[in-house]
Amino acid sequence: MKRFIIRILLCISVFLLLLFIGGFVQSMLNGEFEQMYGAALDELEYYEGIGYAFGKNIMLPTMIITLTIITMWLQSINHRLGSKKKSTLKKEDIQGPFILYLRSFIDDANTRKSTNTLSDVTSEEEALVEVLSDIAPVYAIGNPKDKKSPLGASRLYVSDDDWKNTVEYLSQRAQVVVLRLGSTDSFWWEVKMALGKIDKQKILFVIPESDSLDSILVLSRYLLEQNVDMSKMKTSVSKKRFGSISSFIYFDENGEARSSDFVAYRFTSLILSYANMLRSSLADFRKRFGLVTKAPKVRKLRCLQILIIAYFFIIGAMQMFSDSVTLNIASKNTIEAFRDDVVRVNESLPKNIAMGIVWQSMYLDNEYLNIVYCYPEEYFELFSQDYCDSDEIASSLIKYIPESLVNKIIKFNITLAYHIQNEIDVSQEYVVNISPSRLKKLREYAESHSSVLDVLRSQFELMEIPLEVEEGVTLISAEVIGNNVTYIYTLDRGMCIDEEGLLELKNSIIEDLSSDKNIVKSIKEEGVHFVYVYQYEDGEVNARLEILPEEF
Amino acid sequence: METITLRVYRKKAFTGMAMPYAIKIDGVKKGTIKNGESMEIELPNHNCVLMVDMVGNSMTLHKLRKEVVLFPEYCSTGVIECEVDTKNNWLGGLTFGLLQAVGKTTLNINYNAK
Repeated sequence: MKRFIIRILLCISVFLLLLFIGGFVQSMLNGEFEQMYGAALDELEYYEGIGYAFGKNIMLPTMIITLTIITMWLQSINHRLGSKKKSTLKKEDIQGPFILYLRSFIDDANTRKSTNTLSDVTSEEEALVEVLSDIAPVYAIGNPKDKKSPLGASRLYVSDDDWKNTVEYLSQRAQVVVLRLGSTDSFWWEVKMALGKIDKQKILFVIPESDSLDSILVLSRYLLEQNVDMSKMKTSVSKKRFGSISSFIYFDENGEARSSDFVAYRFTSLILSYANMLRSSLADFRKRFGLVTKAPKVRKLRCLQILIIAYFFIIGAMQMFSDSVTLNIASKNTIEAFRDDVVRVNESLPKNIAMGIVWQSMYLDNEYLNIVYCYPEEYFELFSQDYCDSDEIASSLIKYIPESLVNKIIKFNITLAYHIQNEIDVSQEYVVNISPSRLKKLREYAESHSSVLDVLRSQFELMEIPLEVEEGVTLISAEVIGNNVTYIYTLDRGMCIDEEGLLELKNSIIEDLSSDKNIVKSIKEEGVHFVYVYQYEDGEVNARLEILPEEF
Repeated sequence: METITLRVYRKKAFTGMAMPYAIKIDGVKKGTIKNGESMEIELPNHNCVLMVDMVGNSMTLHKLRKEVVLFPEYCSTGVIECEVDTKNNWLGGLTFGLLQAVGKTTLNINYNAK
């Protein structure tokens, strides 16, 4: 069950890793933004582009490295859980040369652990067995409590009565007897037997890390009995960077003990496996069998490992810089390319938009396209910040800008300037900073809300009535009922609108509303009927103006 | 027995199928074998080291290579058989041999082949 879960997690991890590697390779193949987007680069929002560049160049390699570490870790667990069925091997089955690996059974728990290197998912015992198998296959006496044979040396399971005979028999036939220093009585019996009955040259002691020198002292006592003095030898029991092996003791042709430290090279684990570190540490011992062990070029490997890790980040950082420069250049080029368009659009736009809002100017300032509208002083409250910020007012203004231009704008400002007696009070300006993506949404909103009746209804809700539109003329009611839009104004006594004035007023309203084809289209489609009533305060009607849809 | 014959057989395997193995005895190249091929080598009558080394290993970080000591005194038939097998390491393959070797070479020695 545990292995099943690990395998599922491993599959997910590998799938994600492949996905990210695929994305990385694809982004490398596609190259720069210019190649990826081509003409569409002009439409890419600057910050969107920078975000994409960061994701591609920095986040992607980081994710690949993180997922690789996770995958290796899961693979390591999966590998260790994959034990074999309990072996039924007998000592008579062993033919040819072999190596006998002896240790305390309680140490199996330590040697089953991963060696904690990136390039190795194997356990410490497997790595040691791989190195020793350069000489001959490795066999060990199995722990009777094993449910499955652990990975590493091939196990022989023998009865409690027979194990001493088996160990002795195999030790005498083995090419090498490897003794991993332990603390149990059985192990020390094996040491005593090996030192007494077999050729010392065949013995290799594996010294694991330890907090005390107790085991070493016992070993030195046994060796002293064999006339081998360990006192002049430097035998390490200190903890190494990887695994639990600290050093080795073996005997040369003259029967003199030699020790060799296990050297765990720092910052090479991505390239140099634990097994190769063991090979390097056992170079002298291996030489006896004709095995040549080249010392690892540690500096070279270290540089290589740094380069491998740095590759992703250096390349990523360079790409990031290159992409941001590309985006900046593209942004500037876009502005330059459309400067003429901006001037042309500026000239062709209607000056009087609606509700007294006057088109002021459109100009380019660095990478911003600035559009300035002005409105009369009395509309100040109407265009309060909250109102300007709403999508409705923004979309109603944006629809005057041609789509061809909008699509090519990278940064976009709309300024609603406060208009006092033909002077623009810029201190009161309100800037709407709109990104192209928001602009597109606003346009869609504008298109879906193009109904004149809806627009007027929302405008009326926001108007503060009564509203004095000019001296002596006050708007007291503005409402939309069905298709009828009714404005009721009160006039001061003494004021009078004659037929000529009424006609002038009608033409002015039609001209204003006709400036936008969409409005005219909407009026005709919806059959909007405008009614303007001018009356005195006592309710006496002075003039009534009706505008039918057909008149537009 | 004055001379011993070493019969090297490369088992067909997917990993490294395109690349031959160089067969070296005591560091001296004796020939190459491709997937499914075998070759015979005369061995000196003393311990020697057999190494199978995939061609193109110098280009990779993790090598497909294995060496083993041969002990002729264990051979009674005059023929030592060595089966070269290349096991796939899918994680090494997925990472293009960057983190691990793409496979693992194993040598199975039979000292009393017929």
